[in-house]
Amino acid sequence: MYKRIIYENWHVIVPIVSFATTVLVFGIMTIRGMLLRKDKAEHMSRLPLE
Amino acid sequence: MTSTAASKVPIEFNDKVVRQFMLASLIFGVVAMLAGVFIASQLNYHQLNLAEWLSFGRLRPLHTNAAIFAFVGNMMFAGVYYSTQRLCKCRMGNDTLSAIHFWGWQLIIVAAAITLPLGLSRGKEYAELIWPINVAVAVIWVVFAVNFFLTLHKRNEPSLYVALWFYIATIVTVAMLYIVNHLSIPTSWTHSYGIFGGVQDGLVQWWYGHNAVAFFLTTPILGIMYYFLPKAAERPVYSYRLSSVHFWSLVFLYIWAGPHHLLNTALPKWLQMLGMFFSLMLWAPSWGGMLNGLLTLRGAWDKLRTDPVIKFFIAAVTFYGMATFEGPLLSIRAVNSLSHYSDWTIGHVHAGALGWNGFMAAGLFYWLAPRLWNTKLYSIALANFHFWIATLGILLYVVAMWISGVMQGLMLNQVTADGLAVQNTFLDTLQAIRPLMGLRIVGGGMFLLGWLVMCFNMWKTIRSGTPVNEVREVAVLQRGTSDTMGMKATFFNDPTACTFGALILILGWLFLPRGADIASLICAGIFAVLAVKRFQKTSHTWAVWYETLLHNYLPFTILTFVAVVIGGLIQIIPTVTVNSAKNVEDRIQKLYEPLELAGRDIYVSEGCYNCHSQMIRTLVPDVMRYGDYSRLGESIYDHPFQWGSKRTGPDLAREGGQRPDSWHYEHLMDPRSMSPQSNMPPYAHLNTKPFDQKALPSKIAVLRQLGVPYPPMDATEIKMKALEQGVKIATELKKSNIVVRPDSEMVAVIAYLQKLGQFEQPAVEDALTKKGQGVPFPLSPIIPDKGRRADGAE
Repeated sequence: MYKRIIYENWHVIVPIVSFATTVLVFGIMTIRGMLLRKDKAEHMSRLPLE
Repeated sequence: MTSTAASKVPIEFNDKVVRQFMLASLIFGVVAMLAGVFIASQLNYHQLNLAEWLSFGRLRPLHTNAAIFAFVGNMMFAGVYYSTQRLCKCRMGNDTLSAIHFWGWQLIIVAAAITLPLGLSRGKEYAELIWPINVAVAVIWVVFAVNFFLTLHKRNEPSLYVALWFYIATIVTVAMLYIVNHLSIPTSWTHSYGIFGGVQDGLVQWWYGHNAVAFFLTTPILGIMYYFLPKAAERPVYSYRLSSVHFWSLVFLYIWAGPHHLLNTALPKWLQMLGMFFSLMLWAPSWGGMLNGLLTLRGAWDKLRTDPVIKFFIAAVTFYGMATFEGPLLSIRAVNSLSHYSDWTIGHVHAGALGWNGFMAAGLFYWLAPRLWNTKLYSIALANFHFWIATLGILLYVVAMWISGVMQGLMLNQVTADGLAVQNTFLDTLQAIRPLMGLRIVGGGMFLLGWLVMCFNMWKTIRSGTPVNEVREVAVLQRGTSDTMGMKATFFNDPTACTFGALILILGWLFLPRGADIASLICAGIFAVLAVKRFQKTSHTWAVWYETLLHNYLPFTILTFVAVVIGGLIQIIPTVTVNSAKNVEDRIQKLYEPLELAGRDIYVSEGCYNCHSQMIRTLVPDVMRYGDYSRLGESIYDHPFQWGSKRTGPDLAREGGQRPDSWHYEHLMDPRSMSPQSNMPPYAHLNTKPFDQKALPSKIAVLRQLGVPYPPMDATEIKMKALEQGVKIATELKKSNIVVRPDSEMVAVIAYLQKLGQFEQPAVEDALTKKGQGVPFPLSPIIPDKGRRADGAE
C-alpha cells in the first residue's frame, strides 16, 4: 500500500492529482462566491467601515 | 448565533494591549534588523565574530527568530487585537488573558535572546528554541487562542468578516505546526532530541518551516490587510466574493508546498513533485489576494501620493505579489537546482519579510499611533522619507542577492573544458560574491535607518498625545448560550458529505492496492456526477449552510482545521511510517560513537548548519564537487537532520576522511590558515572547553528510545569509549606537534567531522554495485520496486 507510494515510479500522476485538487477547491469556492447574495456580499464587505 | 438587536450601550475597547504589542514590535524590529545587518557584515568581515556568543552561527538564529516571532509576532498581535474588537463589536474576551499573552510573549523573546547566543539550540531553522521555551510558546499560544475565541463567543456582530477567518486559520494551524515539529524527548533541562530523524525530520521541519511563512507571516497579515486597507482607503474591499475564494484556496493549498524546500535531495520524488506542483498552484490564490488588495484602492489612487499609510500598504501588497510570484518560480525543480543553497533564496525571503511584513507593519503603525494616542502623526515628511529609504534599501538588498545567488550558482555548476572537473573552488565563488554581500549590508542598513526614523516619528507622536481607549456605542445582541450550529448541522449535510466522500475516494485511488485503486477512481467519478446532480436540486440549501457557517465560529474553525490538516497528513503519515531503517534497502548510516555524538551536538549548538549543508543533491555538479549523492538512509539516525538550507560554506556530507585531523584542528582554530579568504568564524574556544561527558548516557538512552539501535551500554562504558576515542585523536594530533586535551570539545568536533559520510552497505546494493562496475552512476534505481527485482533481473 504505502510502499507503492514511496518506492514506485508513480509520481508522474502527481501533477494530475495536484491540478485536479486545486481546480476542485477553486471551482467550489468560485461557485460559492458567485452564488453569494449581492446584499450579503455588500454587508460583509462593509463590516470594517461600520 | 440567534440574535436580536437590543438598545445601544457604550463599550470600551482594550486598546492598552494594542499599544503594548505595537511598542514591543517597534523595539524588537530594531533588534531584529540590527542583528541582521550585523550578521550580514560578519559574512564579509570575519573579524566581527568578536566572541563565541557573537559568532554568526549563534546570531543568525537570533536574527530569524527575532524577525519572525518578536517583530512580526508582536505586530500581528497588535493588528489582531485592534481589529478583532472592532469586527466583533466587543472588548477582548478577558483582560487578564490579554496581559498574560503580552507579558508571556515578551518573556519568551527575552529567554530566546539569552539562550540562542549561549548556543542552546535544537538545530532546526526557526525552531531552534529549547524545549522549556517551546512549552512556554505553546501555553501562551493557547492563552491567545482562548482569549480570541472568547471574544468571538461574546461578539455583537453575527457575521464573521474575512479578516477573522484568516486569524482563525492562523491560530489553529500555527498550533498544529508548532506542536508537531517540536515534539522532543528531553535529555536535560536545556537539551532534547526531536522524535523525528533524517528524512522524516526534514519533511516535518519544512512542512513547519514553509508554513511558518504561510501561517505566521502571511495569513494573519492578510487578515490585517483585509481590515486596515479598507479603513485607510475609506472604501470596502474590492471583492468580498474574491476574498472568499482567496481564503479557502490559500488555506487549503499552502500546507502542501513544504517539500519544495527539499527538491533534488534524497526526499522521495513523489513528495518533491507534490511540493512543486502545489507551489505552482499557489500563484492563483496569492495573486487573487494581491489584486483584491490593490483594487480596493479603486477611485482613490490619488491617496497614494499624499497618504503614507496607503503608500506603505500598497507597496507591501505589491511586494507580496512579487514574492509570491517568485516563490513558486523557485519551486520548479530546474530553477531550484540553481537557486537552492544560494543567496537567491535569501533575497526572496527578504522581499517578503521586509517588503510585505515590514511595510505592512509600518503602514499599520502609522495608522494606529494617532488613533491610539489621540493625536496627529508628528511628521508626514519623515514618514515619506522612511518609505523611500526603505524601498530603495529593499531593492538594493534583493537585487544584490539575486545577482549573488545566480552568479554563485552558475560558478559552482561550471565545469572545465573537458567536462571532467569543476571549474571553480568554493572559495573562488565566495570571492566573486563579496561585493554583492557588501551591497546587502548597505541595503539592509538603509531599511534599518528608515525603521529608526519611524521610531523617532512614533516617539514624537506619542509624546504629543495621551493614550486613549476607544469607546463605541454598540447594539448589544441577545443570544443563546452559544452559536447555534451544532456538530450535526456542521458535518451531516450535502456540502460536507460530498467533499469528504470525494476526498476519501480520491485517497483510495492513491493508497489502495492495484485494482482497488482504479475502482476507487471510478467511484470518485460517479460520486462527482451524483454530487453535481444533488447540487442542482438543492443548491439553495448549500448556500444557506455556507452562510450559516459564517455566523458560527466553532464549526468554521473546525472546517478550517480540516482543510489545513489534510495536506499534512497525506504527506507526513506515509513518510513517517514507512521511511524507517528497517524498510531502507539502500545505504544505512553508521551509528555515531559517543565522542562523535558529543561532537555532533556541539556542531548543532554552534549553528554550523546555517552555513554547511549535509546533502549532496542528485545533480551532476553537486556529485562532481562533493562526491556520490546522498541516500535517504545515510542520515536516518540524525536527530535533528542537518541537510541545511544555505551553503555559505561547502557541503560536508562526505567530509569524513577527506583530510587529516590536524587540518581540521588548524581550520577550526583559524579558518584562514587552511582556507585563505574564507569567511568562517574561528572556533578556538572549542580547544579550551571539555565536552559534556555526563550528558552522554542520557543522550544515548533517549536516542535508543527513538529507535537508534545503540547496543546496551552503561554510563561508565559510554564515557570510557568517548575518552578512548579522544585519546586516539589527541595522539594523532601530537604527531603534527599539536597538543590538545583528549576530552576537549575540539576533539569531539573533529571526531564528528571525520565520521560524516560513513555508511553500511547492505548486501543488495553491494551486489548491484559490483555488477555495474564502470558505470559512473546507477542507471536503474537500486531500490527494487514492482517492475524490478533486487537482484537486477527485470
